[in-house]
Amino acid sequence: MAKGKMGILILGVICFLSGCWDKVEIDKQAFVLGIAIDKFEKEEKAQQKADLEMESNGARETEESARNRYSVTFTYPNTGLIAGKGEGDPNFIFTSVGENLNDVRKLLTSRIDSNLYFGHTKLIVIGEEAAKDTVMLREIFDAIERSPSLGRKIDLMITRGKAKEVLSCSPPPTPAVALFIRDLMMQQSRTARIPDADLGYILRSMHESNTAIAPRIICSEDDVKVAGCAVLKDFKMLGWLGELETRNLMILMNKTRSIQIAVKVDGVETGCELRQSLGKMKVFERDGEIVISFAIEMEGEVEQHMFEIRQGAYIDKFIKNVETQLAQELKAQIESTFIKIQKEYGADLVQAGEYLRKFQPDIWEKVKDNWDEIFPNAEVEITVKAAIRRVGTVR
Amino acid sequence: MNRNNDVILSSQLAAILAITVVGVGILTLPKDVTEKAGPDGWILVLAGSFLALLAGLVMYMVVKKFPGKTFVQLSSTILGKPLGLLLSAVFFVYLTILTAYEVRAFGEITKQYLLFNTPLEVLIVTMLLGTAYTARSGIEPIARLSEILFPIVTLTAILIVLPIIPEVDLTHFLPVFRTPVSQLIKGVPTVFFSFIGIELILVFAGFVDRPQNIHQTVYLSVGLITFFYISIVVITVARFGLTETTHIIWPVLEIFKTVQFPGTFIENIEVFIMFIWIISIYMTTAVVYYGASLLLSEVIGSKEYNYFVLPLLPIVYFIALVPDNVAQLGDWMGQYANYGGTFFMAVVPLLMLFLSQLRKNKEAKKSG
Repeated sequence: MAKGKMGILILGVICFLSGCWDKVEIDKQAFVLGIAIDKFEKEEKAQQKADLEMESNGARETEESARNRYSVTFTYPNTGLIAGKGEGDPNFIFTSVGENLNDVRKLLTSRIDSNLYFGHTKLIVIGEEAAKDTVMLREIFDAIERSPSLGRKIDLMITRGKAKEVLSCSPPPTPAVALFIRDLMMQQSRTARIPDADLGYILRSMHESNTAIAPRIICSEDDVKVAGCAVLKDFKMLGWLGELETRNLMILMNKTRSIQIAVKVDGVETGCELRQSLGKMKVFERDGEIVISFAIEMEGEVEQHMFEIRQGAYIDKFIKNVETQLAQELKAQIESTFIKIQKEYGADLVQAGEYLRKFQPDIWEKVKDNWDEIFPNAEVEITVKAAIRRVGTVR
Repeated sequence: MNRNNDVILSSQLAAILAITVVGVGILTLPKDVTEKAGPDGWILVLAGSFLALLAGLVMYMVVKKFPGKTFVQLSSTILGKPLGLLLSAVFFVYLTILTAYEVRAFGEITKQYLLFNTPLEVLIVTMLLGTAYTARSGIEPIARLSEILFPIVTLTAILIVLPIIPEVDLTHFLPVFRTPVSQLIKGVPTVFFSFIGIELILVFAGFVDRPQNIHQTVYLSVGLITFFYISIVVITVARFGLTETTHIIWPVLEIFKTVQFPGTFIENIEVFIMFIWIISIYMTTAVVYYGASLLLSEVIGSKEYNYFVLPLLPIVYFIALVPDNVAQLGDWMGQYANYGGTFFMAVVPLLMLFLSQLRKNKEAKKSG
């Protein structure tokens, strides 16, 4: 009798313990590292051979392609190769077209034998055309935000032209472009020309101030570069900020690590490295006008002067001279960048509105309804102080 | 009933309550308070906790008068036999539905974040079987389990919050005190109902060896929970800002996606938050389930309650499957907490305190 009971118990246990629905063998898991999202274009149809073959019955095909709006590319590494076994390409790249993002993902399962997993995604690249389309960008942002597996440390970047091309190129040290970008963004000595903007920042900033910047990624055959940024406002991309403009914006947002800048003093090109020690924004009301003021302080050292000019840099007067020149130069640059953001784009990237809401709620109550008109006409006051502390090892 | 083994300390009761109250509610709390009070959400948490403390103390005053009594005995003495039994039966139904909601929320979130292909039904049944096992073992094992798990949950929670701290921006709490007072008052119940589960003091007080110490239990558990709630609200809002906090359904789970450890192995620490959260919701469900089956046995007048644990399981399971989708689940849970919570956390204890005081006065008059 006891034996019978045991038997039933064991049978029951077998029933309960077997058959895990979510079991995926690790070699069947495709860790999607990069996603590229482009607007679908008609010419692409010729390239999508596989798609055509699948839907070869005429009428249906035209109907299908009229509905296609997105062209999405996934890339995942050849995990076998990384582990030192397997062979073949280091990356697998798959592109498909579809009506919406999820549609594409499902369509791709008809071509990929592994289980797509997005928990380790590092990079999302959006093509310029898609980013300039309000509806599309909103759909993309929502799909990303809604996804339970995509994290918020992902780098979301925008590229000129086709996003797909970015994923196809393989930079020399790390062939997987998404991992390359991750390392690039994490390095300590990063220049301020790369905007400090990950997906978490972009989503938060879009929610709070309806504007954000996204890093710009540029690629050629075997070279990838992140510099400059795209300005997003009202759920679409308005335009680009160049590398120096991005740097200036980063100074305004107090997010720089270090910057390189050169001024001509006494006819000698003097190169300096500066670090930001202060970047304080204040927004207040003066005579009924909104004034945005920035107090910026930088300090650093001279890195280049001229060979065989003795006692050239090691003089207090010279250093003071450099400091004033640097301050002037920086001020002019920053001011022009701010005016571009303010007048041309009307994008409150410095989050002056948020500042008002937090620190001057009374003023904010008055201006919040037409902040979009008030911000471009606000006065701006920028004070820059530069201090040179060291001049290197020679006089 | 063999009460010799069923004795717990008041500190154990505090552990049970703390781990029971921190359940599904904590995931949505930052969203709810921010929606109600904007940057002043933390004030709501403090105010709501204070109310919960008062409610707990009222329950303490009630149970202090009837040491060692079960809820049925207590309510029958105060309200008379039929009314007392009816109240206990309602309390039983309330706890059963609460169990169902907790377990459904567990299923939805697990399916969303962890097990995408596993059917919801399987998740729910597995969880229920586990909790039924714990519930069958009685109050003492539950108390010990809570004592062991509570520190684990708390320590893990503190450890995984650390990497978020460099990224928080406390200016999201500015401006302070700009929310109209009327709006604040309207929001207080939200937090008060996040303390749902504290009414179990009424049910479990009979097991406590020194009922006169239960007020310490109340202070300890409400204090711990408030600490938990305040820190989670502060961290979530400081990381996401106001708009995004209200936009995300379960901000507390989402916040751990903003952390990235270097390296690829433990890159995503959501796993840890899921781990402690599943432990916590497991205990919540087990304790509430236990309370429900205990009440049922007392209402029926049975000496043993464990016969009632398993038959309850299908009932809980079917109630859990009633809501159509997550949005409906959230709505109903909110409504349910509003009405059921008010009734059992505020109305019932106050009424009982009032009536027992009245009775006492009468008796004093008679004997005098």
